[in-house]
Amino acid sequence: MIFSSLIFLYLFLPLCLIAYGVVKPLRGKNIVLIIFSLAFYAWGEPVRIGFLLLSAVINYFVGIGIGAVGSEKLKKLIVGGGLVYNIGMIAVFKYSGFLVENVNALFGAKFPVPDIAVMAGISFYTFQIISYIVDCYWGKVEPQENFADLLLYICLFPQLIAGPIVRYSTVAEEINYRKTTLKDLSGGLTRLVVGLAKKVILADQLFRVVEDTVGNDVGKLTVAGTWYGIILYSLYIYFDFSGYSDMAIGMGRIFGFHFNENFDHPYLCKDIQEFWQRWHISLGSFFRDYLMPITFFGRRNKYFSLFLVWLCTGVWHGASWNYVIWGLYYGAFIMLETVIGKKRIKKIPVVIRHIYSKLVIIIGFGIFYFEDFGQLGLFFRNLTPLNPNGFTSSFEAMSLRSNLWLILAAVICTFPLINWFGKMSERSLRVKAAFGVSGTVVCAALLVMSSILLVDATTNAFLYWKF
Amino acid sequence: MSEKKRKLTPEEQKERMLRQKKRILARTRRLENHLCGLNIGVIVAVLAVITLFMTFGERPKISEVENRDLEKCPTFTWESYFSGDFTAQYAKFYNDTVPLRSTFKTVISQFRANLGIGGDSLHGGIPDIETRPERPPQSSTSSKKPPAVVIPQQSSSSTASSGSTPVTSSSTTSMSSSASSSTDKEPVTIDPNGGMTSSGVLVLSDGRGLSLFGGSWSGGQAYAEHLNAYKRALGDVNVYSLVSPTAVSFYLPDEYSNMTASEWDHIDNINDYLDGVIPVDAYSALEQHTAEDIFMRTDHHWSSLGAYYAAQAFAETAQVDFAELNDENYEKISRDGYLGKLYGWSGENATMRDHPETFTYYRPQNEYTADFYTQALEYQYRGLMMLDIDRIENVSEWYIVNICGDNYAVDINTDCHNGRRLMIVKDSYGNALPAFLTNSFEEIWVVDMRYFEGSVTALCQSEGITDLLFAMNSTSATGVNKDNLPNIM
Repeated sequence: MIFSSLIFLYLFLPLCLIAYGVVKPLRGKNIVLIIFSLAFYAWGEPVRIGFLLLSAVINYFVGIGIGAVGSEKLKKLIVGGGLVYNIGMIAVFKYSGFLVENVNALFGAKFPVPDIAVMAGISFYTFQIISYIVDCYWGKVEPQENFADLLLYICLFPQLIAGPIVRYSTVAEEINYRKTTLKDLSGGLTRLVVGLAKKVILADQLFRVVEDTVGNDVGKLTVAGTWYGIILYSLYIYFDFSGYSDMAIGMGRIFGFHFNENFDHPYLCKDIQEFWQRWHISLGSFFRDYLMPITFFGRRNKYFSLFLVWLCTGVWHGASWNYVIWGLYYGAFIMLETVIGKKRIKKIPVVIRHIYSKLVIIIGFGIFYFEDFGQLGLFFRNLTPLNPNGFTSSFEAMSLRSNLWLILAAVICTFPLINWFGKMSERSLRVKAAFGVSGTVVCAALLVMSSILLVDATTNAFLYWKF
Repeated sequence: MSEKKRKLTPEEQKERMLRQKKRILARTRRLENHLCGLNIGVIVAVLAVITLFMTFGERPKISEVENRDLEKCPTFTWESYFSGDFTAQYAKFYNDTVPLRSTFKTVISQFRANLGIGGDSLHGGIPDIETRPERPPQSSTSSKKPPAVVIPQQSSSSTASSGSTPVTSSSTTSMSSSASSSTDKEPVTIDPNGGMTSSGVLVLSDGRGLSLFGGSWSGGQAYAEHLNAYKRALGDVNVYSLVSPTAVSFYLPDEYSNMTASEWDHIDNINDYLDGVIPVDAYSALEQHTAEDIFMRTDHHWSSLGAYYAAQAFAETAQVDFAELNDENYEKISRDGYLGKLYGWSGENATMRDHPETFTYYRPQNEYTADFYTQALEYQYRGLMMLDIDRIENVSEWYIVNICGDNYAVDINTDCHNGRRLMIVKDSYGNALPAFLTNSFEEIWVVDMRYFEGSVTALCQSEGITDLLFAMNSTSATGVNKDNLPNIM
């Protein structure tokens, strides 16, 4: 089940909200959330939900074990075992086919390639679990002694499938001590609607154009057509993923949880380091906190750590070489920026920094998009004057004309409009009231329009679902 | 008074400012609470209303525009649940049968039409366009003359053939043997729409839809070779190839010419490879009449008028008489408000919806009967060659007025007695041809190349067919549908 579907919004969610509202004690509310979260996961993974539960049980005991033993060596052993299990689960359910294929190709072996479909959300919830057991080991959090509470943290449906990767420390207290205030409920509902609108009104409509351009046959596109297609893809992926995160954060707030932000208007960045401070923040911070401290032969090497982080970032996104290249591509630019140094970079005119960062990001999403290397090669060729199809054609002009308002709206919505309106509304109570009422009207209109558009939803699966 | 005007001490001023701040804060908080309450109330109300609407609204069962049954609610079994089929099917059912679905679809198409500043729009992708391979030196059109038409001598035996006799059980028996003579069939994926659904639909600002054409050179060659095999098997029977272009050849603005392959070139390529088969130049015949409504604007088919010009070109090639399109020979029937298949394929494009067209067809005035057969050539019933348009409920289906749509095999016997018996092996384009040939042939068999399961050559021999016409659009001839021709040979 995905958030941007009628069955989720008008069957699952209302039932969940009613049950959550009817049950009064917080423990009961937690049980309601666990039941609905498991039902949510079982809807798409009716059998493999068993693996999710198994992971919860094993990691519960890993946490308990870490808390119970005094010896540092034993702790290390337990956390190591937990890590092996969790990484092993991802390896089996996400990378086994890819690994065997590459071993076969590299050594001429003929091992049967396992055909295991990727388990929905495995990268997200497993990373949450890893953060929990490592934090337990580091003593940053107390091991959770109540299995139901840990299960709630792992399977809570707003963040179960596509993040954000919520740290246990962020919600540990809220599991047993939380209250949904009027502001939380209002803000959560608004966030849910805004996320839905981002996904359905912007991302899904942009995706139709992307499919007609780079999604059709990149080899046939002109120079302008290739740039046009990949720019729209960059917009699409932002609204798709950040829309999902907004919905997740919004639903979390409705239930009284306060997840950290996952996006902070990434296209406003002026360099690549800043981009990754604004894009998929929960993943970036995960690698920063859990991968960067790793030492090699007792020493920390900044550049090797960077390489490892960006290799893992690429691999995390999918079992295909283009994701690995995509990760290392960003790693290379970040290393370059590190070598140049922040002070020198800041001396470069802002316009040039913006152009540089957008070029790197847009071309990067080209690498991200094309899993087929032949197509990727054509993409790179067609971005340049080597393109044999010419610079422009009537197709791009027609596509641009018939999607002009959509594209303009998408570009405008990459700016922090809500923050601007929020600041403007602070001028006086009258302005605040006007903005508040208008915001509600806009929200209602967005909800109605998004719901209508969902009637025709054929391509609305969230992209990050498969990661 | 004097006490009131007294200057406040700094402490008093501070206290006053603090009180003021508190008052403002309290007012702000009150306002924020009101705004939050309003926001929650409105969003929850909208959610609740839509939830009630989705739960208790009447769910439609069919979609007229898409011409399909909507998804059905699955029955729960543990087996279907654990396989994931139940949840997947239920989600499909829930989404596909939204109450007032067609109204919402209209709103969606209106929304999409307003995503830009109007003009032309493309729905779907541009098809793959291959470069034409070098022609083999011996097969250029100029160096090869089409074979002459063999005109059979009219004899008494021909007029007494099965064509003019009423259908009896004995005739059914003889045809069943024709059906069983086809063996070793290759499995073929048939596209009822001739492969057109896989191409993009370009909607021009005047509401005309054009299905873009990709074509396949090797496909065209294979089609020609299939027809050559028919010719070799049938000897003296005149075999014709009428590959119809589509509207994209005549109405595509020049600026979009790179979005489609040339149907002219593909038809020329097919003709290059024909050996003993007579090409019918429908392209040139249609090209002379582009100012008239020879193609539907909202459907992928030609209009009856377009089919008339193609039939005329065929009659000239086959050297048979041809009835002119006038009130004496034909009854003209027109209905307004037609929105054809392209409208559905374009995602119910709003520009197209705002420009519905007039559907016109012609009913021949001479005498004829039409007998319908199953795919295995078992007699079904005697029916209407031209269906009454007012009996067709679904507007997008009006094209089936022509021989009642895509039937397996239809045998039309006419009051024309010239010893010529025609068999048309066709896709849906061919459905519109028989209406204009009832004055040209005494018997017309119409076989659908996609669904027929008998043997065309055996049927030709048993029915004394003199002329075999392959009539289809360019996508069928170069795409998947032509792959079934060897199976029904």
